[in-house]
Amino acid sequence: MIELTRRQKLSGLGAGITGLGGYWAISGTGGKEDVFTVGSPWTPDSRDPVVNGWLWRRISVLEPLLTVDYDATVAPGLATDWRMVDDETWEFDLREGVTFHDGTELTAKTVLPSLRRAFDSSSLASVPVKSIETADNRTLTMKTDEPFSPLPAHCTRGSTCLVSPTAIADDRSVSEPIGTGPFQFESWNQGSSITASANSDYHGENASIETLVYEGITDDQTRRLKLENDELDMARILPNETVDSLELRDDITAHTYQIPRARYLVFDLDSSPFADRRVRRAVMHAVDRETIVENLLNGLGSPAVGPFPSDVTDWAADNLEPYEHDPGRARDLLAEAGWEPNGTGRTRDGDPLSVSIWTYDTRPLLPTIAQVIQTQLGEVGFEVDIEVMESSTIKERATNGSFDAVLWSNSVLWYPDPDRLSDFVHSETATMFSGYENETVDRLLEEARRTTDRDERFGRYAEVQHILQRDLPIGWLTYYTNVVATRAGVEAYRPHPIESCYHLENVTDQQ
Amino acid sequence: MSGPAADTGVRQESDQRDEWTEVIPADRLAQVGLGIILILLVLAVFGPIVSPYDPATQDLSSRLEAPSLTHPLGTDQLGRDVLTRLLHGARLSLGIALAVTSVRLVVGTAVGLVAGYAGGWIDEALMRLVDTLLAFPGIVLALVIAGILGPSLVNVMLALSVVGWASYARLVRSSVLSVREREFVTVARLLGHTRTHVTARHLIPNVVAPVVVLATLDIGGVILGTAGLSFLGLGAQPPTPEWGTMLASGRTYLRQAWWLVNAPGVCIMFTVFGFNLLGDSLRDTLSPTQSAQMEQL
Amino acid sequence: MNGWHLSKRLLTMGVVLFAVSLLTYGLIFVTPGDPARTILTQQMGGQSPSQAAVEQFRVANGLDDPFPVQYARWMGDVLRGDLGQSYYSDQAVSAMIAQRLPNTIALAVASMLVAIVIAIPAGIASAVEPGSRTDYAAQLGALVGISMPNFWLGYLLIIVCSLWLDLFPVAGAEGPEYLVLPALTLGSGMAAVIARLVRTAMLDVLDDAYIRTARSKGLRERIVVYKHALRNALVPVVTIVGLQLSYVLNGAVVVEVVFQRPGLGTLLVDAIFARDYPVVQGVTLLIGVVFVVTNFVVDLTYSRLDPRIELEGEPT
Repeated sequence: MIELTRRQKLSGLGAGITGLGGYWAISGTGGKEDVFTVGSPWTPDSRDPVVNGWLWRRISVLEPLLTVDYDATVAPGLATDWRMVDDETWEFDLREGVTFHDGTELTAKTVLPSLRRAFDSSSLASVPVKSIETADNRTLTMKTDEPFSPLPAHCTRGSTCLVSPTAIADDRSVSEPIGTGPFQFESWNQGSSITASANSDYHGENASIETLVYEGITDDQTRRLKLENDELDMARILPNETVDSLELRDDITAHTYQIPRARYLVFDLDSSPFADRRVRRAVMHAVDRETIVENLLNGLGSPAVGPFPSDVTDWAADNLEPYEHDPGRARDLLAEAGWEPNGTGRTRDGDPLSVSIWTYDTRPLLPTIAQVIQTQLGEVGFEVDIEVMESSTIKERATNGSFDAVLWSNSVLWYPDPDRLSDFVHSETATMFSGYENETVDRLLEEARRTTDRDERFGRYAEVQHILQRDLPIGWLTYYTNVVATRAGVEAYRPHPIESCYHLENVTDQQ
Repeated sequence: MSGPAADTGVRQESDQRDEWTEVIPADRLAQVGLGIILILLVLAVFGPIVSPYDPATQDLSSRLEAPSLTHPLGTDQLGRDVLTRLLHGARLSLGIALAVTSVRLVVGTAVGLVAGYAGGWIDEALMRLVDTLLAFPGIVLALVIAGILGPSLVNVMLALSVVGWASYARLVRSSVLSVREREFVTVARLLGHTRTHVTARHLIPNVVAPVVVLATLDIGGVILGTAGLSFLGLGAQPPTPEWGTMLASGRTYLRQAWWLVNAPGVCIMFTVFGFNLLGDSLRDTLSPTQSAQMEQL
Repeated sequence: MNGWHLSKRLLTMGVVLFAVSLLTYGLIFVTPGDPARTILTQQMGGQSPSQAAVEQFRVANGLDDPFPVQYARWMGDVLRGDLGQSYYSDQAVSAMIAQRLPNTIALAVASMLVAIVIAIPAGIASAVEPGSRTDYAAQLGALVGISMPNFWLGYLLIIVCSLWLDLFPVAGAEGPEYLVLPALTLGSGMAAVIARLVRTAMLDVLDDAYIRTARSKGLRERIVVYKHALRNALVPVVTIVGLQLSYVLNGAVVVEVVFQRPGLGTLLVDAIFARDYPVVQGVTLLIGVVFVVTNFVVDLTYSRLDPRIELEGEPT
């Protein structure tokens, strides 16, 4: 009886293994020589450039009018040249010999529907474009409501990526990303992956990769495991801790590079306790940024002073006074603000000094950093709760209601112009929900926007940075070092400072 | 479904078994289960007191240290002692499981008693409510509720309580219905005892056994449910040492620090295993009818 | 079963389905937060809309109507197959579901197969010799199977089968080989439940009179076990397997997240975190309806197969 039972078991098991083995033999995990797979945390949610253009631009399917160079400055793209004709008028010369993936030739006329659609959209609502017209077959004229020197920088943004007029339906919706890039759209699984193939009619040098697969993998550990298991050729935005162990392997190369991105605390200036500048300053003195960088970030990154890392961009103001780690000073500031020690914490008029820090986990390490901040603030008398939520939920809740502080990370040069500061602190156009209102800052930002002279602009942005350092609507914590790893055999990959494009068309894969 | 016959089957077969096969009596399994639970309770109560570490105190200079004599289960990404955190986590996990199960049990039993005893449209309405709740896979509905309420341990407990009482109600109701028709109840009524009296005297004792068994089996489910929701990011917020959350945040270090994922994993498994073992053995002591009612859930 | 019973049963199911839809819609309705503001904030690229704009949007989209009106409108759309539009992506909810449903069905079927392949031999081994070491090993194994958090098991399988043994891919859903580890993860827990049912059913049948007759006639044990007992025991087991749908759907949520499979589970989790309520409603409603209907069908089959079971399923 026992024997029979065993045989029954074995045959069942055998059938199972044979079945699985069969699957495996047919499809196989390897053998995709001409497919290059890149894994990134961001899932493809839309084929509309206005919504998700930044993603399609990163994988070189869509291209904007202008591009961003490796030194984080504006460079030619589909427009080879651009100039300011008068205060409110710009001209762009379009590149010759460019066709969209559907064969439509790129002319002033064929880019118009796409560009107008982009600048009409809410994504670019803060860019004061009044009209876009064709001057001749190869020249575009853009007029703005007011002098607006950051316009070329905005023309590099993903939302402005150009799609063929045939991709735009009568109701102005776009359901296929028919662009001009070195890769053309083949198929996608909404929310998970994109397949693109090399465009043999590309106006530049053709890509060596034949098929490009983009996978949106939100979990950083999964990206790493998939890279180790050769399911990805490139894994982007890996946790800093992985670098040491990845560097020990000969089949993987880790690239680390500083980017103009910061981790920071956005304070709610409209509610207690952070309405009081002294309390915000106390936070900055209480947090030990050196320790965070050395221990948590494995030395990758650096303590932030202002918004711009001076190693990466020359828009950083000189002589910004950093907030030194000084818990004693933090305690003094809190006492000055009326928060007196009471037991392990502090109170003012009976209210405890308790704050909630909201953060999200799509970027590695933010919740871990939040816990260190929680402990360090605890040492000077704050009682801190951490809430980890989806970033979009935080945005919505912080925009529409009161909060205490948000631990966030964002590019400070998402488009390569310091007018980006307006998104952080301009009282009317800020998307960073701190409720900061400072007329001088608003005025300086607006003036700098109208000015074309670089030095004059720099002076104003430097002044804004100094005021922000004093007012602290946002507490800059650390700058960001990106970790990208590739399989051995992937050559000629060059990390881009603002990650506007992975430039995989330049990459070769020897395996 | 076939509890009664199964029982006879076991007995009959046992009589015929070969001499050499060792038999572990069912109650020994119950003892093992009970033993695991008792050990956990002792660890949960005394462990945190004995441990020289604090579960939240960070030591950034000794992050991700492998298990050693000073840290028997290593340290985590913030240099905290993993064993200490697990011991505090045991308090939390057992506490949550007991609290949620109690709420489920009390609400479910009350509803089941009312439905079974009142009958008529009240019964109909309550049972359709039960059907509706049971129309969703438990975790899916709990996920939606906890997700809507926002991430926190309390919301997870609330969500798990809301979705879980329905099985108790159904079980209690069918126990009531079957007991109510039995001879001794009829006899008691004929003897002139009031309805309340009859309920108190005869129904409740007959309902208690299956409910206790269900609750024992349910505790394991609640622990897994809490861990699952925490894993998805809806549960405990850092630095709370809840097991599911610890496992979830440890997976970032899957390749560098195996103990961060596996230590809480083993803890969850053993706890659930203990309760399941006990519950299973208790189930075997139920009467055939009661056991059949359990299977129908 | 007679026509009256069937129609009563159908009516009850109708009531439950109605309640399910009410619950699905109502849950979102009582949610803290203002849907008009949420949608508008999203449409404006994350910028805070003015109060006037929010009011205007609310009126324009009927979000100021009382609950019954909104519910009726939603239900009307749902009955026409329109589950609404996602807040965050440019797709219809029904299209998003249609895109991901096949992956979840594949996972469900594969894990069910894994469960059966493990459970039936284990259950038989247990039943032919109750009280033996094999029996206890199988029963304890089954208990361990139910007691393991499946997300942990998933990671263990990834480490062992993908990284050490290099047998299967880590995560994704591109081909059948991507299905193996998720199906093992989900199937092993289910196997535990099914193995126990097989054991009970086998013991039940082995004890039946005609099996005893067969034995006494001198039929060889193996013929008794496989030809007669197993066949009869499988009837209730097959039915119960249908009821494991609940387990599959519960588990699919977590397993799909672990293995990053685009399915209903990941769709629901992502939508919950993003507060994409039309998607949450659509997926929840679908799961509820599928579940109610499956249970109904299983109940019917069950009572057909075994006339001893009353349609009501409750002793009275």
